[in-house]
Amino acid sequence: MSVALARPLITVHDDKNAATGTNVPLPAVFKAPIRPDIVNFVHQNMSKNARQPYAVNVDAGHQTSAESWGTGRAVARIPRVRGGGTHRSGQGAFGNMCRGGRMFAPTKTWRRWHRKINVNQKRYAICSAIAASGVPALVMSKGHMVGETAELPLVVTDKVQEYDKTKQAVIFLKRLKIWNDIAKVYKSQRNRAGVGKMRNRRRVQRKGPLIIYNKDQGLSKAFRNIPGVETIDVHKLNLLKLAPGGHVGRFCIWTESAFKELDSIYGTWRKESEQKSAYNLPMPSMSNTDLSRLLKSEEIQKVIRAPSKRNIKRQTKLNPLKNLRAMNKLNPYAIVTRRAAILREIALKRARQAGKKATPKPTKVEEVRKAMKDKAKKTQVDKIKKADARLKARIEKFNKRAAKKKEQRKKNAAEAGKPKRAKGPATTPKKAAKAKK
Amino acid sequence: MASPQLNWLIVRNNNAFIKKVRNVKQPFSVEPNNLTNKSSFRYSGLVQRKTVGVNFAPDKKGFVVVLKKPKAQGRPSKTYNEIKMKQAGFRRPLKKLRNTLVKNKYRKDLTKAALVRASVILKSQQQPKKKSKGKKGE
Amino acid sequence: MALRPALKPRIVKKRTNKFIRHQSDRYVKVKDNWRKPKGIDNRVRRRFKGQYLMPNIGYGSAKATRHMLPTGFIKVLVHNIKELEMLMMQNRKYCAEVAHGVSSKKRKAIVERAQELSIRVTNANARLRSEDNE
Repeated sequence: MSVALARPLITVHDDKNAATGTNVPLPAVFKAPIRPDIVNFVHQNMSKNARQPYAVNVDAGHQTSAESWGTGRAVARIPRVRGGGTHRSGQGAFGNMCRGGRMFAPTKTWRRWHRKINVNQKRYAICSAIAASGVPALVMSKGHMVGETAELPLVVTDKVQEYDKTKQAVIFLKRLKIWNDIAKVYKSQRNRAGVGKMRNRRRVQRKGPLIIYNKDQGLSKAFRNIPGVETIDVHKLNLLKLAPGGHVGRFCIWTESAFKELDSIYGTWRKESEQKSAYNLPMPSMSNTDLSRLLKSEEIQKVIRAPSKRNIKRQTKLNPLKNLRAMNKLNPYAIVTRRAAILREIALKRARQAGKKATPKPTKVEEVRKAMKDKAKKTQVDKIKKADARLKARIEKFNKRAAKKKEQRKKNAAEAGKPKRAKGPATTPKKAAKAKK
Repeated sequence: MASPQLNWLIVRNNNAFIKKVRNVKQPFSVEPNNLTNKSSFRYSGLVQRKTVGVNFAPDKKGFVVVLKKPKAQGRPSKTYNEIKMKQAGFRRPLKKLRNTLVKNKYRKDLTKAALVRASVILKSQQQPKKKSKGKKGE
Repeated sequence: MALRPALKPRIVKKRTNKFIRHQSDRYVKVKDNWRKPKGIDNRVRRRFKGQYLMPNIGYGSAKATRHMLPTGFIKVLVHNIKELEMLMMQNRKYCAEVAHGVSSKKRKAIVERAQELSIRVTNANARLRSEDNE
């Protein structure tokens, strides 16, 4: 838990940028979780709370008795001003598209100008903003020139609270090397872009350091004429000043007593706040946010599996008909046939060169193949022959039977011819037999 | 609470040095100690515990290497360590730069970027300026 | 020699013609700048054969070459020397273009610095004429 985090000592600097010798333990607020989302949300809503209502006149654009002409007059059905005798009559009225009409959705004074913000959220945001102001990276990223400051958070003696002259203040800022930041403010002074110039917001400049005191003994008067510098009481810390623009990391200068006060205002995790009723600092959801350290830690390394360092090589698919090696993988015998073919080719060539007619000795493969082919042919021929023979036998049988039938019929006819009573030429032997009866 | 990772998350989308350029996806960064001027966690000069910066020397001779001391976290004035590389020529200062980064095991991942930046700086100091003026006069 | 980009892919533009607005040929008052037709019977909107083509996302350039100049660089608008130095480490990918509001005096400084850092400037020769006349 973050309660157990070491709380470093912060040195108190005197007005000459030297250590006074007193050290203050870092208040617990500086270890609070930094939540830019909450800060932004609260800032956004808080910044709305200083708004003044504005609206157009309620009656604007509605001070005529205009009525629509209805259809049938070949004009738009917009309400038109009644009567005659003036140019205004017959002109469109009321609509936002009409000259002299009201605006679309006229603004009202009862718009919801202000926002209620939960107190706990507000406090969370302020704690976050304070915590961020102690991180050099965040303060630098906001553009503050803190490269030469001795320490962050910067704590100075209470003597500063007693300053009542601006001259003293300037010398103090210069000695503590804070003046760089104010020089940047001077450099940034310019006219505002846009129409705000004519609305009493003519000049703009960036923000400088924020001085946080416990007791104003002239301090606010000493610092108020230095551009960019703002002063604020620890007891009345304001998010709009701690995180201008809703972005954390303002450059804060604390007086010693103000810095010491922080623990009693916001409490520590062990002890609730003394000045706010029943308030405790927000708990961080992660006590250690250092991801690289976490990942390297023994506990995590122990649990995770070893990295798989298998290198998967991409393979190109090769055409086995063109690529011999690919073919060989599929058909190891291919190389033999190929070799044989080449050898044969060579032999053929040689023979041709020698002037002989090329009849190369057939290879074993070819012999086998030829034998197989012959055999296949033979079986085929045999098959056909057998089929032929079978057919012939059948035809013969049929012919024989036909001949026999013919014979029989002739005989019958001869027998039928004797009784001289032949019915017709196509008398079947059966009919003939009937007739006989 | 704060750690480089957390700080990066806070700073990533909005800080004083980020430069978002139209039509370029990764924003640029003009922060000090960013070697490539790209806005990224690795090259960030603000957020990391150890950073390397290679800058132009003010007298236009050689370059200045700025290293961040990881132990002086809360004290900005003591955080940075400047080393001037004034050796003549190209190879010696670059060799020295490499040694300072690699042999001390100080951000090995930035070595290459640092060397590139240093050589760009050295090259810019070598170039004769006449060429541009000649072009302009015509 | 002019600076070359580290990588110069072939830039393919899927269409180089302009998309012109429907019926912009009929009236002077209808400019040929593209407007999407919205009419219920519009034949361009309904993509009839022989009508004007409508732009759509399919005509977009490949991601790798989007916004890329014909030289292979991607340009970055630069207002001052500090912004120029931002490009120092990526001078083979990005080139600078000096913003139009920069005076000729500062422009000269920027161009010179760019030459030192070997950053390509697209409009290095802009605003030089007045100098010549003097």
